[in-house]
Amino acid sequence: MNNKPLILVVEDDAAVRSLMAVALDTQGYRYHLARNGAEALIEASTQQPAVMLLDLGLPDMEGVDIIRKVRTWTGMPVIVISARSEDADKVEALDAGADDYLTKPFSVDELLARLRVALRRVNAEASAGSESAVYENGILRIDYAAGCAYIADQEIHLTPIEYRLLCLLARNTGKVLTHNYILKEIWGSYTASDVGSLRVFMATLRKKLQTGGEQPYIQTHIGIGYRMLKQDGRQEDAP
Amino acid sequence: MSEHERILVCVSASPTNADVIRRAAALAGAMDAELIALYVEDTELYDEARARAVHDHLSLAERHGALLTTIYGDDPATAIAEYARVSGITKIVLGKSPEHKRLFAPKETLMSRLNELAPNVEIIIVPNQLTVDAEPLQLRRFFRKGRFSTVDLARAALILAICTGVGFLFTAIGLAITNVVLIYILGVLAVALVTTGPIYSLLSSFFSVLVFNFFFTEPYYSLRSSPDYFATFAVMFTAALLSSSLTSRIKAQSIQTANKAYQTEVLLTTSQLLQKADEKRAILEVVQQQLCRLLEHSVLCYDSDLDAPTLCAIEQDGGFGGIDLEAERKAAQWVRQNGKHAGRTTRVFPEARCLYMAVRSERTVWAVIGIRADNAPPIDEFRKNLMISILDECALAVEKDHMTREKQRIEENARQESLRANLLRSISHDLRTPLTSISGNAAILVENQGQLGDESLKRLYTSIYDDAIWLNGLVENLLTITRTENGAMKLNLQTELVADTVEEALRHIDRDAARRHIAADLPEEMLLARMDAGLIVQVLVNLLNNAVKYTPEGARITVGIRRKDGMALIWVADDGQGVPPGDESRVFDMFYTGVKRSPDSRRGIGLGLALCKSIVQAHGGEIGVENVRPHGAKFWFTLPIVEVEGYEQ
Repeated sequence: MNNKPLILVVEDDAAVRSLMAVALDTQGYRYHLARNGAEALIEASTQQPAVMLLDLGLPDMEGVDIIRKVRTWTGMPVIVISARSEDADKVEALDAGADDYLTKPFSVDELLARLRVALRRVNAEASAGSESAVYENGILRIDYAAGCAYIADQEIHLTPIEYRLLCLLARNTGKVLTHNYILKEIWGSYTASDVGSLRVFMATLRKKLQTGGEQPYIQTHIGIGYRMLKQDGRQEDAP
Repeated sequence: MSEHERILVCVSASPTNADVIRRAAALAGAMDAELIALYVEDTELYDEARARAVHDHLSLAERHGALLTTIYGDDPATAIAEYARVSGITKIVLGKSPEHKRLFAPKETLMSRLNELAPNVEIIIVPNQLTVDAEPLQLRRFFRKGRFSTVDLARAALILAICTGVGFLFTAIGLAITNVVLIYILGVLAVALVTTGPIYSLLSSFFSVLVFNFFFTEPYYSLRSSPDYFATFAVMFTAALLSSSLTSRIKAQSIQTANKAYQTEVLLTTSQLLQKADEKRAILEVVQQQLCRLLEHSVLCYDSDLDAPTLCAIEQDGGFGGIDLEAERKAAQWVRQNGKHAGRTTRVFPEARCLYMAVRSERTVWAVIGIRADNAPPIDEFRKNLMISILDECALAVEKDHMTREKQRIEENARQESLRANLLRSISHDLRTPLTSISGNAAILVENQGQLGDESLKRLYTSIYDDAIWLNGLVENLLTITRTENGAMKLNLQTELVADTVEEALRHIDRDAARRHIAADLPEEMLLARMDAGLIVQVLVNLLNNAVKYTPEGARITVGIRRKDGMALIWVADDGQGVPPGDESRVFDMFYTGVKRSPDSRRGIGLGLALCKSIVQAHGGEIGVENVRPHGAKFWFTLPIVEVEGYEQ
């Protein structure tokens, strides 16, 4: 019996679909293939996949609408795949509830890495339950009760806004958070000048978390947003 | 005669003139000719009844589709002949008798003089149908013109009294009686200067003769006098009258000169303002404001799409408050379609609150101007003419602007077309090369399964992969080019950290880069700039890939950021061969591909740097390249910095 998680691949192009099938096969994942939005919704609701890989340019539906529908009953990770290099489409999908995105052409390595990040999030949520009092990610530790963050047991000094940013990213580890989402969560309402401030806060926060040569904790997705990476010694999430 | 007929009809205050105009219009209609109504304004003093008659006749002519023109001149015949010559008039329509003769005007009729002055023009005489009172006597007009004003009368009396006083003084000190005659002539001249209307001159001439007779001729203090003096009286009276007539002429002329100067000034200001206006909206605005100032009426202006009009309201006539612009639009629409006047004071839509006129050239109506005309004094002829001149000038300006734009558009289209053609040619060549390599390599793999060693297999796979990646980069650049429409790039501007773009770009460069040493030189300071992050990353990727492409393995490439003169300066420097001297600016031209290379060499269709240039310029920055010592090229570009406010640690 195969205990590997089930992946739902929604892609209308046969060549790309078979490429993904081959890639998933090599890693021993189980997968279901859907060729359009209608099939995707049926599969997603009946098969309970662990992760959905969703192409945004489907013939019958807007990918964003599929995300919104899926989000009404499940929080499963959705990775959108877009041929359009327009950032606006990705941001729209992320704001609609997608977790991550890939731009065509993507490498198989990258696809698998993103998939692992998503699966880890599912597992972490399953094991940790909802909200634990302490967050741990590699050498980074956040004590929510005390309101302190540590790197290798050394407390790092954060301003209130930086701390709130860190917590927001930590609670969504592995997920790309859009600028708009972060601004709304931290500032409530925001003005254009806050967008610049966010860049500066993030840059200083990243510097404070930077401890050496390893992969940074916070990944910048220029024009889109930021993401907290799960670190476990192995560096496999490099895009 | 193949030439277009142009018929001129002379407008006057004569009661028969209306009939003349109608006949001229009928003639013009029959001959399919252009009708021009000409009014020669002379230096006669303003007379309301006459002005109204002229106004009525002019509007009658206008209703019959005539083009209205007014010229100035004391001699109608010369003025008409001159106008006819200049504007290529083929026929002149006149009433039977010239309207009036000045008291001391030449006695020849207008017709015979015109025949003499404009021999090439056919003159058509329309006989009088109405029986009019014998042409009003000059004297009657003389009296009718001036209204009695007690002030003027008192002035005249006072001047006469002073003259008499001086006369007594002269006789007392024994000067000759002729000096007294001169004093009275001088007095009449003074009267003409300080009073309005010739009646006072006439009266003072008459009375000065009487008074002179009474006080200074024997027998004194009686109106009887020796027949010797009759000649003196006659000469004195004529001299006084003549000189006063001349004085009033001079006065009238100076008023007219002032009017003309005003007209010239208004027109001059208008054309100056029009020259500065470089767009239709601006032109219309100038005209609207000039008309508003000139006429002291509120003026509205519809663009040719008849969208919401722009208003230029003034207080004197209450602006546009309470006017149903929606109802007015119909009149404007009619004017837009027919290119003729409509609205108040015309026959079409007379219930409208404004008078609508078209700003038109030969075929096109560019805009419709509306002048509020329901509760302000009517516009006099003088201003009306000015207004028409301004509208004509406006039409010319709009047309010129339109043609310039049209020309620019065509040129731009042609440029884009040739650019596209060039692009397509280069692309098809540059796409085919890697595609050939990919399909060829794949074919070898398919056909020689199991016969290839690991080393060759790896080489084939790598080649396919590299070509695919290169194709992707090309497609990325092409996609960006499609975003530039008519030279204007649509930017999705956001405030970003400049350093982030460098990091992002370093993630996207070619695999060949692995065999170069790439270092980032980032400042401590956090520089923010407003940018389309995707495009700026693309600029950096292009510059970095370029550096990789033109340097040997093991070369050093530096990418750096600094603040410089309020801009963020970003550069990519290498230690390769540098740019050929003299080519520093040409490298950013489209299809520039560096040093002459063998015809089948590939990689690069000279698109990347040209694209970088247009992206950076669209951001309001500059881009350039310089060679560095000892060797190598340094490509740099700038972006406007955004200072962050509200950031507190």
